[in-house]
Amino acid sequence: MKKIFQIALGILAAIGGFVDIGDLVFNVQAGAKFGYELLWVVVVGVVGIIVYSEMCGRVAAVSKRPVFDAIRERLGFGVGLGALIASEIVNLMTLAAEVGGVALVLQLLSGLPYRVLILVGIAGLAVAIWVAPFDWIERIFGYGGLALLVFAVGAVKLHPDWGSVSHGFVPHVSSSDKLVYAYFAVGLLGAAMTPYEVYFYSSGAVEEGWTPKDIGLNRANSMIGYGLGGFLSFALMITAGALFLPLGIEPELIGTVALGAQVPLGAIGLLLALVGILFAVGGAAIDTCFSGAYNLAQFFGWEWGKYRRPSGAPRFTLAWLALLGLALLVIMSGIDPVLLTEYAVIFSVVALPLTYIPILLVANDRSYMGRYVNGRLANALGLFYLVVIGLVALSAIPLMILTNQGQG
Amino acid sequence: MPPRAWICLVLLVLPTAACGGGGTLSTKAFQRQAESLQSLAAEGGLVAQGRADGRATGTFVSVQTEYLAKAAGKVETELGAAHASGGLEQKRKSALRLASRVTAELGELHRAPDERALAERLASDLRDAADAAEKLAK
Repeated sequence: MKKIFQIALGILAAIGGFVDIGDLVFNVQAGAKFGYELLWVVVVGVVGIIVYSEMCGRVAAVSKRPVFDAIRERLGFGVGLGALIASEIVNLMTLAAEVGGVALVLQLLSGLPYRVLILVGIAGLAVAIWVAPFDWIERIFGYGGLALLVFAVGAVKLHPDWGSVSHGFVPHVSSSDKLVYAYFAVGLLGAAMTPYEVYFYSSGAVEEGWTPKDIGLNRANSMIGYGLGGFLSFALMITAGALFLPLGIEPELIGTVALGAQVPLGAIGLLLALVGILFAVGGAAIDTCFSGAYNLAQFFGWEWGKYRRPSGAPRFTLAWLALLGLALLVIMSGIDPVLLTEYAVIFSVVALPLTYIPILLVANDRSYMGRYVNGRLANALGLFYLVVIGLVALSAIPLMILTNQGQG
Repeated sequence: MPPRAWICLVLLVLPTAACGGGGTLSTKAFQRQAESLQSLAAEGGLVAQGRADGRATGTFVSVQTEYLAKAAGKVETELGAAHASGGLEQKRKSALRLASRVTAELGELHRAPDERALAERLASDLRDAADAAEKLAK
């Protein structure tokens, strides 16, 4: 029974981490622009995050050390500090976007003013983090986010051309708008492999007290959790390709995403979509908030952990409270959460190598890992993804400028 | 890359990526505006039809159309502030009228989301507007 509950860690990481506002935005926009042509990129991203989350979960289980410990040790203080600053900026942008997303969904459900709902959302998240035990946070947001499965039903009910859908899983280059296609490919990879996911995942593994006995559980968590996240991404993209592309709709609003379930399934589809988005984005907000606090605490050697009382880890507690406060200021400035999401994803892509190189180095270090060191397959995949990550990191900002954020 | 270079890059990128139109309208910029208008009208049509069929909540329709109306109003403002030459100027004026109509219709739906007959009429009007915008974009 305990094992089943532990799998919830993977489900939370998948729904709240994999399917966050970045995935919602990029998958739906990519589907509306290119139909099913970019489905293969989601597969590449999902396999990438499975490879690296498995690696960092294994490192955490064997060495009891989360990712940011490895970053500081392997990259040195100076570069490590650079990685910390970059990751904190991206974390804050993502957190602010997620909070804005929560407020927008609450507004679509209640009709109350957006700014009031930002305050309600922030307060709700703070209370959830403060009051609820870690495993309850996992269950509430993880299982609530499963309502997003409504998009899978919606995708089927929209009767897409399944031949075109299957063709989309074969890697290819679009015949039109190659730069915009590349921009969305980079965005989808960035959204799938966003660094906070592995920070949260590995810190969660340390918090849960994983040991080498849990390595099988780690594999199941990363594969089932992120695999499920990838399935939801497919559903979102297929829905957008079947519904929005033929009508020339360019989704720029969270509410537009929900239309993908409302049109085929009616009011119940709409309600489930909004609830699913609310929990997925809310869960991702908590992941991001924790990730930011974890990184700071691990880098500076503070006491950290959700399992400790706030008085047992005061600087960690202050860190997540401060992050929530800063996110509140950012989103109250009036910035569009969807636009902020696009910036956050693209900037996170630039920081990807700083996160993933140290994981690969530590997972290969026999003095840390003993007999649990990377095998040939893990190394081959790890190296392949480092090359991919390097290429997308170099091309992300130029593509964003050249395509005017995918507008063409 | 040193941190100072990153800051410069960010300061350079954000305004460049965010800047919009205004001034003389190029064919490409006009096409973008017409495509945006098509998108907003088509989405408005979907939302309105959902309400007319009783398949979407009034709250959702009211909130979503408020955002769509704001976006259509932005297109209207940008088209109104720009000028073009030759045949493009004629298209700009047509698009401006269309943007004004779409903004007004989305606003109507925002204010009266519970009137199903109105939603039915607006759904049809907005679909027509989307078709017209698509033709202008070509």
